[in-house]
Amino acid sequence: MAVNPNKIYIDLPKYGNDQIIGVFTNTLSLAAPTLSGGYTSATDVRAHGFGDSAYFEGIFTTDGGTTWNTFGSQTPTLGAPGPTFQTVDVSATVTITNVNVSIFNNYDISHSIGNAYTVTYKLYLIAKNTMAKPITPIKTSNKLLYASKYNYQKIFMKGSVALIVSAGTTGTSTLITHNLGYVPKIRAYYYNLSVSSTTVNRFGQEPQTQITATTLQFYSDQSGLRPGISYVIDYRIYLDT
Amino acid sequence: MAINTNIILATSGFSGFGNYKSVSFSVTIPSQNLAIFNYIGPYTASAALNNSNAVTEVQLQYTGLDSFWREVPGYISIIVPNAGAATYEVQSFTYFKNGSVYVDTYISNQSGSTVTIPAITVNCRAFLFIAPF
Repeated sequence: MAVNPNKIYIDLPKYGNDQIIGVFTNTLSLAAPTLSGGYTSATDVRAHGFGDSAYFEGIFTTDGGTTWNTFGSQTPTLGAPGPTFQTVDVSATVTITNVNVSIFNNYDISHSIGNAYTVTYKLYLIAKNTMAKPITPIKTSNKLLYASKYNYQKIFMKGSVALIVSAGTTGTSTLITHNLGYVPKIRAYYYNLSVSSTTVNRFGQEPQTQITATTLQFYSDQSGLRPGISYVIDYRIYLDT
Repeated sequence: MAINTNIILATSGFSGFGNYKSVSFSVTIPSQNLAIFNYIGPYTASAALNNSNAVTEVQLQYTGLDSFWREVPGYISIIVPNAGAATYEVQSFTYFKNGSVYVDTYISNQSGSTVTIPAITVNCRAFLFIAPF
């Protein structure tokens, strides 16, 4: 069907989308760890050229692309005498110059096994709430950025909050009220001010999120011998249920 | 100029993540006493959700403990204060494998005495997002 372009109108969206500004992928081989060594590891450092850090989402596969997991996922080795997690651990940070991907292949002490793995990762860089410089996205071979059959995530709210918790205590950030009436999807990243105010970190065990149908709050447990934290957290709350 | 709409649907300078698939699933951990330094688990919640190339998000809620939903960036650990000084730790791990999403939950006694664990239902939501590249 031919369409007259003079009859096409664009309905500008009320809510913005995430803006993916670059994709990095690579395949790395990790040798089998030994009991004495404990682990083998690989690091992949890639320059992104933005002059500022960026948010990111990462996925990886250890089975040649059949199944993908998000960075931080822990696929266990089950069976007697007990389950073992963290056999392959993939994480990353993004600085103002580089993407830094770290992969650890840990020895499974419970089952006395060390396996070699080939790990392929994909890392999506996302423009921050505020970028220090104009963005020129890293070119890809993709012909279409949007496919209308998908409902793209729409950003309902975004912002930054501090999460400062002293050693030996627990604490929360300012309570963020969204009043959506349902539990929304979110993304959040933190800057560890004791290390770098610009390097973007993806959430791991700490800090944690507490989401309700009306609010979002960030929590950290620094009780016991934990050293305390001084974080700034950038968050996005999505409209989509 | 005529446009073939079978080829061009929309254009833009940037793109985000497309909502693709989601599932809700749960597992209930019965109330029980847990001896010193012991652990129970895994209590596995799972559902069919094949992740062949997608960015994911997993959220869970521990009813019986509180009403919050929490992001699970692979692993989450909650230290639960109990009566007196007794505490226990609730840990959940999430992963995709063989066409399904899994959340494995363990509870360990972190105190110096037997603790009573309340009935906990681990409610989970998992999402797949299509990335455009």
